[in-house]
Amino acid sequence: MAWLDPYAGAWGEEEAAHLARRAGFGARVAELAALAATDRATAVDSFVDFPPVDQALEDAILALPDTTDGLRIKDPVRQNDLVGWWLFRFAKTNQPLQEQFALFLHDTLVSDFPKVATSITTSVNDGNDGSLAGQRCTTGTLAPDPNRKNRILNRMLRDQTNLFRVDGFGSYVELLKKVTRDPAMLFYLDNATNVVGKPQENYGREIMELFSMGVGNYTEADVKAVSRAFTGETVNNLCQADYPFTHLYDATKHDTNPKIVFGDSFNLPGPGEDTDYVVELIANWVSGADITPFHATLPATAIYMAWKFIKWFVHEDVPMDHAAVGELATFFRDSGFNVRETLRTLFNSAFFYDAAYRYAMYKHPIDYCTMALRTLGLEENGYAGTYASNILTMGMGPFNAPNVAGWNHGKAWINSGTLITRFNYANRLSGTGIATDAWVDAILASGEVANESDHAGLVEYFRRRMIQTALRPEEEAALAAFLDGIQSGTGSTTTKYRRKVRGLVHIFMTLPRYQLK
Amino acid sequence: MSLSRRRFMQLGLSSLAYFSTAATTPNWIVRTAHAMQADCFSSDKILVILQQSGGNDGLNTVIPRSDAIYYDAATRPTIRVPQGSEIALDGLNGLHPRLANLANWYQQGRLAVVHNVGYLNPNFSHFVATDYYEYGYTPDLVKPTSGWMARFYDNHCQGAPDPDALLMCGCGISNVPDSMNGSTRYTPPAVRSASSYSFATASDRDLRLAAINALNAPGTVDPNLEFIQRSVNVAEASTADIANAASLPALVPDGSYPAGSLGDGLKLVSQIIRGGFGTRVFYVSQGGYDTHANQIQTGDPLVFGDHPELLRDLDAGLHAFLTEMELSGNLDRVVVMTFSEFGRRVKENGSRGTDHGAANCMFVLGGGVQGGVYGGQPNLDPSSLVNGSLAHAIDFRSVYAKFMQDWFNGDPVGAFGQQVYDSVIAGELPQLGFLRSTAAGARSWQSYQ
Repeated sequence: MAWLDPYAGAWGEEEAAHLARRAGFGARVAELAALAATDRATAVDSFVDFPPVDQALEDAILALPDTTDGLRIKDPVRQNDLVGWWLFRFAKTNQPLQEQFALFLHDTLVSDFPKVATSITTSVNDGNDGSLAGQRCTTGTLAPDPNRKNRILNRMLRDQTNLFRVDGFGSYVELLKKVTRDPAMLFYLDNATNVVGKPQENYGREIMELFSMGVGNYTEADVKAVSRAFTGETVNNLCQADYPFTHLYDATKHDTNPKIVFGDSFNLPGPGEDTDYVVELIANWVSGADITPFHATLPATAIYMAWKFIKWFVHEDVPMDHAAVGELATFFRDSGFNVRETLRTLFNSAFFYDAAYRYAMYKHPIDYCTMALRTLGLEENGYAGTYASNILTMGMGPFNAPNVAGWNHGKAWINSGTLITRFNYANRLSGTGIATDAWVDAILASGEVANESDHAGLVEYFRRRMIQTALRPEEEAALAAFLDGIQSGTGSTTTKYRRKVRGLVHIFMTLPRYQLK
Repeated sequence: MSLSRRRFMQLGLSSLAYFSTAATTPNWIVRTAHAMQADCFSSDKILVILQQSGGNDGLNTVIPRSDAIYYDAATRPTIRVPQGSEIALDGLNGLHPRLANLANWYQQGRLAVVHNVGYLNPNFSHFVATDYYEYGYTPDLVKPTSGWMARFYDNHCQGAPDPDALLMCGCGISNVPDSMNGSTRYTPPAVRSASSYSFATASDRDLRLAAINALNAPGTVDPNLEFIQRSVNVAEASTADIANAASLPALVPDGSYPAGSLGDGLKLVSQIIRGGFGTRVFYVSQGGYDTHANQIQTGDPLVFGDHPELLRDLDAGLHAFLTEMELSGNLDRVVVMTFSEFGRRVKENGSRGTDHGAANCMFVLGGGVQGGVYGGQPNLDPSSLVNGSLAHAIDFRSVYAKFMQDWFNGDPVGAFGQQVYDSVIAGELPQLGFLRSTAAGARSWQSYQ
């Protein structure tokens, strides 16, 4: 163990800020001071240890009015409502790693809105008016609800992310067993229609390629056999009250012939036993494939997932054969695929704090937007509609990944169009609707700025919140030129002060470095 | 020198004026500026790459209408296109009935079908297979660091002046496609939505934009920051052009382009071309082709279900685009090439869908196209299949090479290497006569000097 040895270097604001940008969504000024004042291990624990449910956040959502900034966050109906529901969570969470990692899991164990919507439309036959006449369901009574299908759809996708929040920090193998039976996943990758005699390979392939091992560790014959093991895992869309769409194991649709996966022949009698067995096989399979040296001795799943953790939290360009990947994969396997302890080890490691990785990752769009809201204290101010309408154009709409592999990261986030959208989001944040006069004037009252013309104080105020490391001379010069330009123009002292503050919000978010974390 | 700065000088505009010209600059000024720029692509030819993402079911796109195996009940009992409902192209091939407009273009000799496109030892992963097509390599080779079009540009345009910021464009998408990525000299723009492709400022526009401009002046040594700055410069240098293009009126009725990324993208491509801008390569994308289930709706293989609806949008989008090209006199300089990362299994699965397959058909459309069917017929005989999927007869790199050589008057060897050219491409090019143009008469970029 070398890369994963505990970090032994200096611990201060720079290191604490690095931890907060990666494990969460940045640190507010007071949070940063507290993190820096404690020791590294305690700081890491403050991100890694949290209860399964962020009750204050759930209460805040329940306390919302029916409509927030044009979105129905409390009771999502349209796709943008559900997007707004998650964006609200990012902005307000008290357990930032829980949301950041739920996003990681959503990006790994993908389900998207359009595909699940199509599946539900195919399955839900009542006409939304409660009438059962002429429909597939001929018994029972459903209350009229013009948004029935949309509510079912939103509930399924919301519940899937709650699975990630609650079960995402225990055993990854157990999570895989659960996500295999998750209704939205059963629809998204079609296992709901995977039946004996006519297996279909969508889930069987992707669970190995994208959810666990990565390509190169299995054969096409394994894909077919794994798919057969999953036959019968489907969704209960029978005519129960309000279409529950819960998981159903249908023994009559299960293939009871022997399946051979990685040379292991099995055919277990109990409900879902084949499913659990094959997930265990996948998770523990040491393929020996010529991919990295680690594949000779470690499970491919431990390697692939350790690599994915590192790519998300340390740097997207770390290659799979980096020694740190092997070390983390070893720890992950030895811990029983325990996510929480593996992340704790990673966030404490010398590898994580290596100078080469600081401010070296491109922020994903949700980082970009959420960090600004939280560190500027703008998360109380009606941002939700703006956020939801911009995030898709930045390339990262929740429940709308481009495909089952999730989003492309790193440089793929950055191009002319996505940067224009980022900068325009910054402009919207800086507007009077979100950066209100009261918010702007409170900066003057904070004591951190001497007066309306204290340009150095204003720049420092935003530096402490948004960059949290030294500005470069050319950055200082550009900011000073902007402030001087306003100062030398017309307008009252108050008007010019407010223009300076709003301009700084916008311009700080266009700093090339602000695209990095 | 940054793109934007070089162009400020050419246009005689200050950097601030550049930001704010937007829709107010007369088109002739923009066109003049573009015409002044040397273009290493050697002619005014344009290639539009259309991705069908997810793996298009080629056998239900171009139906092998005389093949008994296709109609055998054991092959596609529910999803086959019933015999007689296809639109006949010839005795062997018919288009899906949702492709009626494309059938008309075929009758005019402006649509070519290339069958059996793929590569040896196909991969059934979306992402591995997509990488092959985007980077232009195959399982026997190491993945290149740049996409196939970026490599062509880097090799073909060595020594050429800096390109127009809009030399290539991802349209209707929020990412730059990998095929265009990785050039050492050129960073393409991506324009998901033309209407929001401009820098907004609530107040103090000039001062804020001056600061953004200064912060993104090149010169940093950090490669991450330099990449961001270059991308901002591309944005600065292309917003006015995009705004001008997007202001051009449509030549087809409202609603001719389908809603969504493909329709938005093709509409913008048409506007950029009609605006006279110097863009040579476009990329648009249509997702949703991963039709494992409910590829058709119960009992209706023709009209409803995911696949017929995708083909309907494809047909509508391409028809609107080609119509605008024809009406504006641009049809002869534009070709569209469709591709998908793989075809699908010959047999359907139990969910009225198809699993991942291998070789597939491509479309090539435009005024410069020699219509017809190329690449032979698909062979559905079980003894010829690879993992239940069609084996390939034409390597996809040969199709790319055809465009490099006979559309852009360039050398495919620079992009693919001599060994691949000699062993794979050279032998297949004679089967790919789908372009009417030849290298003769095309100008090289040096002739602009």
